[in-house]
Amino acid sequence: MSMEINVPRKQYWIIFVLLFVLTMVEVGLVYLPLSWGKLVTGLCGLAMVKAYMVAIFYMHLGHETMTLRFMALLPMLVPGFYAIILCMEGAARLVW
Amino acid sequence: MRSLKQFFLSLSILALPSALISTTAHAASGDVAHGEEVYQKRCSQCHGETGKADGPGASRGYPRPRPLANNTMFKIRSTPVGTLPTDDDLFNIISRGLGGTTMPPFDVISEQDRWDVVAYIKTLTEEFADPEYLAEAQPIPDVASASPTPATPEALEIGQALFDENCVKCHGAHGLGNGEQRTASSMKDKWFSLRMLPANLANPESYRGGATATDIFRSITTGLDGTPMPSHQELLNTEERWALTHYVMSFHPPEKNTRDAKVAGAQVEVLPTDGHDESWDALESFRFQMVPNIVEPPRNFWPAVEFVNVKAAYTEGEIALRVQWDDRDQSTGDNVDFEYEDGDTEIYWETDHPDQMALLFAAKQDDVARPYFLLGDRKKAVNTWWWRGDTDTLQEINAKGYGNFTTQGEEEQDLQGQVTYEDGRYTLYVRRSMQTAGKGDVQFEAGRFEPIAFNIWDGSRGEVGNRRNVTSWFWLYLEPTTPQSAFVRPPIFFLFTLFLLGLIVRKNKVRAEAGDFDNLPPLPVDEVEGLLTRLFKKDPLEVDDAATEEVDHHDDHHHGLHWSQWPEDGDMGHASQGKIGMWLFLLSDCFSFSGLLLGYGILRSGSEVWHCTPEVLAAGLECGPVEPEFGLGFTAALTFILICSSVSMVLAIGACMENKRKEMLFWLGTTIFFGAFFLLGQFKEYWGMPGLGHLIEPIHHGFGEWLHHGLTDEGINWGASHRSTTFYLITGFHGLHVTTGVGLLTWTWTKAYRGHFDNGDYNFMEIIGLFWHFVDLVWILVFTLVYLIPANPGLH
Repeated sequence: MSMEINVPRKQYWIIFVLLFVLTMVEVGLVYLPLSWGKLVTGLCGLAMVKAYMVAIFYMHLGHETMTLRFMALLPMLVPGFYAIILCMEGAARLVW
Repeated sequence: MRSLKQFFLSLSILALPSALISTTAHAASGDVAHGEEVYQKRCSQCHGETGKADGPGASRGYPRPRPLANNTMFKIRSTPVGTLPTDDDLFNIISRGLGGTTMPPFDVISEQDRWDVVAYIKTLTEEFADPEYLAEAQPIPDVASASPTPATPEALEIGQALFDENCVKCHGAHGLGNGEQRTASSMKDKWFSLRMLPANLANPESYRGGATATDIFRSITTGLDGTPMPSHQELLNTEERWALTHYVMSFHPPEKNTRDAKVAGAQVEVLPTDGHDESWDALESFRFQMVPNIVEPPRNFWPAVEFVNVKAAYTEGEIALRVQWDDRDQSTGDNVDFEYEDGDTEIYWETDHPDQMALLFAAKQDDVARPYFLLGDRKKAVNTWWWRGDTDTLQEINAKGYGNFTTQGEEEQDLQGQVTYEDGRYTLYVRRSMQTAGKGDVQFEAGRFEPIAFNIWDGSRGEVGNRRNVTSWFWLYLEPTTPQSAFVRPPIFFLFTLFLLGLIVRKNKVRAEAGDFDNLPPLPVDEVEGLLTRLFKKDPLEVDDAATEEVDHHDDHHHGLHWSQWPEDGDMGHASQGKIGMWLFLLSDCFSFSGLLLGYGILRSGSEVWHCTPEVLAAGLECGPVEPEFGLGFTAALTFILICSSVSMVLAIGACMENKRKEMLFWLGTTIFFGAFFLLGQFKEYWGMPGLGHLIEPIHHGFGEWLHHGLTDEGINWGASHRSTTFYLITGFHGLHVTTGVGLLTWTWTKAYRGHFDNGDYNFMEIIGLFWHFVDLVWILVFTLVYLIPANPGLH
């Protein structure tokens, strides 16, 4: 193999601990007396952070070229955009 | 670690907008003209168009709505007795409403609208423009500062002594509003000379000015102008008034974040023997508001009984209920047939009807529809447990609407119990077998939601027949007990499994060091691998034996070079074609999941009720069958398992990169184990494991029972509701991915075992890893959207 091998085991374990802690925080948030809006924002934010960590560190996107990163991440944002528009549309119809 | 730093930097940037978004509402001076518009739309129906308390709804209110024109008497103020309230006082009354009256909180209109109404109301009484009056109307300093002293046992003792001295004669020894002065001629309001009752201090919901410590302290200090409640500003010092406040608050029922929607019955060894048995003290009390029947004539316009408090306990064979309600006067009159005219708004006192109480249950089990809440109708009967104060009898009567009653025969009367009356409070104690043979009897079963409702008549207040206080349907739920050991055994099993795993690893390590694995026999996987290779790697028409041998070196087909030896591409770097292909596949797969999650989100956001619960039904909303919650703790554990599998996967790839075969096999095996464990958990979640449950139940009561049941047993079934169907669709599609992933990982393990990665070529392993991590990534989103986000935002 011509490529230099450097396995960042410590980083993997740090991410593992962070993922575990963030999952506990998510579950804990559900039991806090937060308003529904704040809770959903918090939970979705934490989920995005966790997904980002998996993609960048475990799927090694952080080590890929910018082109591959954009190719993988940008299209994944589109459904999120659709979700916001369409869920707001559904909720608005309910209110009317 | 540069990536980690970048990550935390992006996290901080993401957090910035939320810090900048804040809304600060502040009072603005009121616009009288707009205030009049709002007043005419929202307030004139009761307070009258000109503020004379002569609106069309005024006669249906008790106490009557306050006249606002030429009126200088206000009950709720922070100012001294006999003075006008401040603008803040008026604003707070409009915003919070007055408990126990027909004045609702108007927090639904904008703050500016409320300030405008305040400005308009002040124009109805000229004293609000008189500087002399306004000079006096300054908040009392210790009310304005509101610095409570601690509620110590000593303070409570002082408070009790002050209460006995100053308050008992009106509010009664236990604060139930039944003091001897309640019938005195002075117990009248000063606007209409209508008879008044001292407040029942055990009903904080009915305190006119609010029931927080600050509110109570203010009412004690300023008194309630226009009522017999005097000011204690001069009589008691600040410390004494706080002590009295703390003592008054000791009458309150335990505080809860939400209104009760169910009576949760606890399983006990021995049932309490009567309504005053001390064993009731250990059980939770549930509290429901009574409302007057304003549906069926002759209607009742104000409830003489405001709340009912309920406790329930059961054993394997019997159930007992304790129901308590407050009634200032015990009435045993026998005039039960009198019928008032509908629309009669007279306020009655000392009438000769008996006090009565009826517990309502659905006579027939029906998971979807409950009987009509006013004692049923022709189609759905109600099984009532009916107590009458004149005969002091407790009977089972089946009702199909008011007046359509059938008293069960002597042999079918299964109730035992009694009703006692002490110092303004009734206590009904009733017990019955969980199951009976009586036709039309409600049958009880642990773990099942049973509809329950209450009807109460205060006979001395003109309540008889349809003039009664009712509740909507709530639920009686006899909670199945889970022994403490159920929480201890799973971690022990987990640790034991880890120990076994460790033993296996240790043993293999010893064998490896002894050279046992140096000449491994070939695994019988060649044929399977050949088949998979034909399916996935080559055009089936061109497959031959020689080609399958080359499968692991397929990258060599490109110019005779290994993928890692290709010149670096400007756009893709060293990424192999296989890896780029996998990323493209993952993108398409991502859109499949997105389609499902989008459909789920649209359905959910467009549903008034997403999850049908007893609380939703209690709120008066229509929905399908009641469904339980998903097991959040269990699913969180499964999520943790997947996170573990992700780290073991990436460590397997790392071992492959470093050409450490044994370590690679270990981490790959661990990943397969976690994946399989997740699938097993999902199976249990859906269907339960009855076989395993039966096996374990004799060893561990409770855990076996838990294993036995899945969501399908608890009413979450495909097609039962949008919630159920989308749940199975999304988690099932994900489960299919996990199954595929476990299959691919097993295949990879066999390749690793046979030494296919011994040359340090980790490309294949990384591609499989990408798929596995994607499965984990998707689960993170599914766990949040399907499990964590609570349903029914309005009720959260």
